[in-house]
This record gives sequence, structure tokens and C-alpha cells, in this order.
Amino acid sequence: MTGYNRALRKFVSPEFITGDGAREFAGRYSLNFNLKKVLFVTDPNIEKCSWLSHVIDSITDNGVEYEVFSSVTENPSVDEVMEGADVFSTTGCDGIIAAGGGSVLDCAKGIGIVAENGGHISGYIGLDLIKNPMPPLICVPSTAGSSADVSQYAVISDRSRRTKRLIVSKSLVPDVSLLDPVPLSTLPREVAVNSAMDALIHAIEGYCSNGSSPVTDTFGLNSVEMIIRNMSPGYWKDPERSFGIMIASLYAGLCFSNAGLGLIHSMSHALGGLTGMNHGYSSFLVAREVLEFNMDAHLVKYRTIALKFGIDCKEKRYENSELPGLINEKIMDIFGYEERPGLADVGILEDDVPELVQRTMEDPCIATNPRLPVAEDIKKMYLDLL
Amino acid sequence: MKDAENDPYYELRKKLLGLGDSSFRKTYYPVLRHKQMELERFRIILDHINDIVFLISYPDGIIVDYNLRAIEKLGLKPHEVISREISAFLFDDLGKPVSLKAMKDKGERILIRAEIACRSCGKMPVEADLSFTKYGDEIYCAIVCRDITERIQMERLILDSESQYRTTIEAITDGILVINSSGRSIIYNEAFRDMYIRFTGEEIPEKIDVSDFFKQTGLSESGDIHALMDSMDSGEIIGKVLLDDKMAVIEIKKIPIIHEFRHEQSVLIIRDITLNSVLDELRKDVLYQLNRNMEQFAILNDEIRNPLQALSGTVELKNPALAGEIQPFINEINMIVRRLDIGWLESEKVRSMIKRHYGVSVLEKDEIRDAVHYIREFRLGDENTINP
Repeated sequence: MTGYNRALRKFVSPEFITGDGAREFAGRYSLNFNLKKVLFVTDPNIEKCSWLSHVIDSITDNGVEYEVFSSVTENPSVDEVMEGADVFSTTGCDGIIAAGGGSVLDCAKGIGIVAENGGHISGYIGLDLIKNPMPPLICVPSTAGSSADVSQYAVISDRSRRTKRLIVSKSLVPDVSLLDPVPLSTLPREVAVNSAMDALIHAIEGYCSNGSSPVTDTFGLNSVEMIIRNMSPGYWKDPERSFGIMIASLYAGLCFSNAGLGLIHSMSHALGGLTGMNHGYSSFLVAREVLEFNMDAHLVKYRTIALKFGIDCKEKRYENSELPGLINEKIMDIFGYEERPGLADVGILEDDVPELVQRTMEDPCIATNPRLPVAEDIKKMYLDLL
Repeated sequence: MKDAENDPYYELRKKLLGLGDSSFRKTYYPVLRHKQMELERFRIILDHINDIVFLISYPDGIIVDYNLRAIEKLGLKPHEVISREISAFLFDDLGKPVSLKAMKDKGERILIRAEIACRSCGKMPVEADLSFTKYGDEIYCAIVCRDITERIQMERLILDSESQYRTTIEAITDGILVINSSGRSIIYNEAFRDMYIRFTGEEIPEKIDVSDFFKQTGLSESGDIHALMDSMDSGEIIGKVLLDDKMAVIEIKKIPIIHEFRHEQSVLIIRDITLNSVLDELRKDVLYQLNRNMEQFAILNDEIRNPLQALSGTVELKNPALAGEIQPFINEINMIVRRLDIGWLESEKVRSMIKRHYGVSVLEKDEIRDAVHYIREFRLGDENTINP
């Protein structure tokens, strides 16, 4: 009796290069894909960063033309995707290089979907609805957290309806990820911390998912361990630590992209759509209540996570019900959060709860949560979180 | 199956984990394979159409691709075509190599008649469709050449046939006018042109409105012409054209041309029957005179035969010997009168025939003079043999 999960599982990952200067391979890959002109997707802040010039130089040095699309904002909207797809088509691009955080990478995926399949991006919301593979997509992530550079997910916001919707398909896994720690050094503090939080939640949810496998477990648990080991105030200024977090984020991405996520993400997507708040931070806000809800469904795995946080479950013999609180305290300590505000503090009203519950129930991430909730369970959690 | 029944998220989870029917990693192979098959299928079409197709790089004019029919028709091997300049194969109608640059200056798409070098037939006449297009950074010219050898032969045959018909129509002394459904002329012959000038006093325009022509000639004053023109059936009318002190008699025959149950054109045959009409009238006069003469002749026969009968009877009563001597002479006179009677009967047959066939003429007695004036001036010229 090995205890291994022998259920059918699949593992898909992109080709990736890690290390200092990895971003400079963007041009070579463009050439290898026989691209003539790439759409360079980024955002206005990244556009100002000096490290970007190395990416652009590598493109031009390889004789590849490029067109910049930098109108991407946080939580990219359907309009931004459609605008980018229009630029892609009208300027005759045949591939995409995306340099930026999760928002930029998700927008680039949306652009690729529309560019190759036509129609409106809202028509691809859901699972496995993409018929034709998108053009070659080369990612240069500037944050360590979203893992959009290795995952099968793209999150697109509809601002008029204040929703965040998921596009999920194995064909959304990018062709190449160039994991270079250098861009992380230019991140603002809040973005760097929240990104790392995103990575940690990815790792925990992926590891505890009911779709996990021995392969994803390895990546998930290693990710948790590496984040705990490397997370510190100002980690992004330290080349060693930032690289460690970047690899931890890669592991988390490989884990959750193949094992699925859980209720933390379903609730976080609902909250993010309604308030526009940062995804990593909204995930942190709901994590403790979801851990409490899930604990009994996968006790061994949650105990293993607690051990990684240095919570000695065996010696001190904590009650299971105590673990979520203890884990939450450890997270706040590691990430430097002084408090965990209630949802009311971030603008959520009691009247918003039914809408949040409905959105949470409709979010596909809920399908791989270790314990399947009903609407009443979720409502209770939201009300507790207010 | 148990999972699927009890778990509302079973199918969703399957897809999330990449185990759905269409969950597989990004690969271009299925799409490329599909597109390749589409291209191969299209290539089959290109290779099997009857036209010769070349793809030429511009501006150097090098053949970069061609269809199978090209090498088949030209009788060449692939290496004799690929990478060669198109100017070695395609010549304009003056026999000079086609210049792609000159063609592009004329437009992005040009249709020309040209000749293409062919191993078996020397030069094949073609209609070449040159279309310039940009692909990537390169400009290409797609040339589709259609063999028009048969078409040229057909054109020649049609031209010859048309020439024959034209000559025939021109040789007809009746006026021929073909009009469309609006009454506008399409073609007419020389005889009609002469009539037009004669009746209107004007030079014939390029296009004629037939109703104007009828108005100018006075033919439209008769309702018959309107009924004829409005009808979709064949028909004919006879009308008179008055020119100062001259009068012409015209027969107009209309033959509609029906195409796919639609009356699209009509052929008008316009015949000048003035001379016939006058002759008819003269024949009537001659017949009348002949009638009168016959009557007089019958009376004369009776007037000869009756006294002769009386003379023969009287002599026989009074002098039988003398009667015997003169009887042969009386018999001879009787035979002569008898022969005249037979001749009269035969003449009666002729007269009946003439009456039957030439008894009708549109001309009134008082119009004969004007018609003869017309015939003198336009129909007989100086050789005037008719006296009204």
C-alpha cells in the first residue's frame, strides 16, 4: 500500500529557460518559430523598465520586427484583448511576446485566441472552447506569482459587469517561458509581495486539490517550502531570494495548472471582479476560512503544509481546527502583513453576498476543491469574512 | 460512471485536469495537417484545370511555381520551366516578350491576348490573365493562360458566317430593318438606307426610332401600322407614302424574334411594291378592255353567222345548183368563225385567271398617275415604258 494517487492525471508544461538573462532568448525563439513580426504585449509601467531593452534588442538582433501593444491594465478587460487582437491583425503580426505580470500574460493569451480563432473573446469563456491553437506565445514574466507563463488559465475581466471570467484550455499553455529574475528587482513592494502570496496560494490549492497527482504534489509541496524559505521583506531586491521565489512560482504554476485550484480562487475571482482588488491579496483574505472548511477533507496534506510552515503538529498536538489559524499567522508573519482586514474593510457590503455566492458557485475552480461546498457553505464564509 | 452520476463537477473536473475530449496541449500539427490537406486538394484543382498557371516573382520575372497542365501543354520538363524567366515563354500579340513591368504599369490586373511558346505547336494563342499580388514582403504575378486556339477558329467561322449573312442581306433589294423591343434599330441593310433617304429626304442616323420613321413617311397615319408593331405575332400591311406629287406603295412584313418566350427583337422587311401595284392596275384595264372586245367579238360572230345562215337557205331554195357551188365557201367561212369561237373560249380562261389573281390593287384610279410619277423617278430611271 503506497498511498499514491493512481487516478488518471495529465501533466502539461511549456518549454522554459530559467536564470539570469533568460529574457534575452526572446529573439532567438522568435526566429526559431520563423516569426517575421511579433506583437510585443506589455503595460505602461514595464515599458519604462530598463531590462525591457534587452528583450527588444534580442528581437531586433534576430531580424524580427515588432509592434508594441502596451494598453494593458491590471485585471485586463475584454476591450483590451479585442484592441490588442485588432493591432495583431492589422499590423500583420504572426507571433506574440508578452513581458509583464499576470495581467499582461493573460491579455496576451486572449489576443492570441482571437487572432487565430476570430470572434469575440467573450465567446471563449469556459473550458476547452478554443479550436485553433493561438500563434506562438513567448512569455517573459516580470512577477513571481501568477504563473500565467506556464498555466492553462487566462483571467479576463468584464468591467461593465464587474466580473472576472476564466478561459481554460491546455492549448493556452504558452510555448516558451523565459524565467529571468532580473525583472523582479524593479517591482513595487506591494506587487512583489502580493505576487508571492498568489504563488503560495497556487501551491497550497494545487497540492490539496482533488485533481492532484504524485507529480503535481512534488511541485506543490516544493513550492510551499521554497516560498517559506525565500520570502522576506524586500526579497525581490535579493537576487538569490527573488530567483528562489521565481522558481517556487514556476513549481506552483506547474502544480495548479495540472491539478486545478480550489475554493480560495473561486472566491478570490468573485471578489476581484466586484472590487478590482489585487488577486494575491484577495486570495489571502479568504484563505483561512477556506482552509478551515477544507481541513477535514484532506487532513494529511494540510498537516504536511503546516509542518512546512514549522508548525509542529506532532509534538505540540494541535487540534486540527487550530491549524488554519496557525498557518494564517505564519503567512502574515512571513509576508509582513500586520493585519488581515475583513471584507467590509475593502468595500464589500452584506448586500453583495448573494452575488458573490452565485459567482463563486459558477467559478470552475470550485470543481477541484477538496471538499465540494454548497451555496450555504459559501454564504456562511462570506458573512464570517465581513 | 458512479462518479459522473453523483458528482455535479465530474465533467468540469475532467476538462480542468486535461482529460476532456478536446483537452490537449497546444500543437500546430492537426491544424497544419488540415491546412496542408486543403492546400493539396486545391493543388489538385490547379493541376487539373485546363488552363496554364504560372506564379512569377516580380520584378525579376522568374517562374517560381506552375501547375501540372503548364508543363503538359508546353511539352516541357519541370526543370525547363522553374527558375526561368516568363519572358522566354510568353509573347504579346506583336510577338515581343511580355514585359511584367509594362503590364504592372497598366494596373494590378490585366487581361491580354498573347502567345505562349509550346514545344509541339510552336506558339499557342492564349488569353493571359495577369494578377499582381503581395505576399509577405514579395510581389508576385499570377498568370493564368487559357488556350484560345479553338476560340480563334470559332471567331473566324463566326466572322465568315456573319460576313456571308451581311452580304446576303445587303444583296436583298427589299429593305431589312431589325429593331429591339423599344423600336430602336439594331441593324439595317443598304436597301433600307436608300428607302430611308428617299422617303425622309434625310441622311440615315446611326440609330433609328422606327416610330419616327413611320411618322416621317406618313405610314403611321394608318392605324394598321400601330396594330402591326404592337402585336407579338407575324404580320404584314401595305401602306402608301406620299412625296409631293409622287406616291409609293410599301409592303411591311414584321417577323418577331422570340427568345426564351420573350419578344426581344423584330425583323421588318420593307418592300417597295409601287411598280407591281401599277402593273396590277394596268392589267385590270387590259382585262376590262379584253372583256369588252370579247363581247363585241361574240356579237360579231353571231352577226356573221346569222346572215350567212340566211344566205345559204335562200340560195338553196331558189337555185339549188348555185347553192352546191357556194356551199364550200360558206363552210369555209363557218369554219373560220368556229375557230374564232374556240379562240374566244380559250381567251376567256386566260381572262378568268388574270381576274382571279390580279383583280385587287390598293391604288385607286386617280392615284395611278402619282404612282407612275414615282416609278419614273425612283424605280425605272430613264427607261420609262409606262404611260399612265
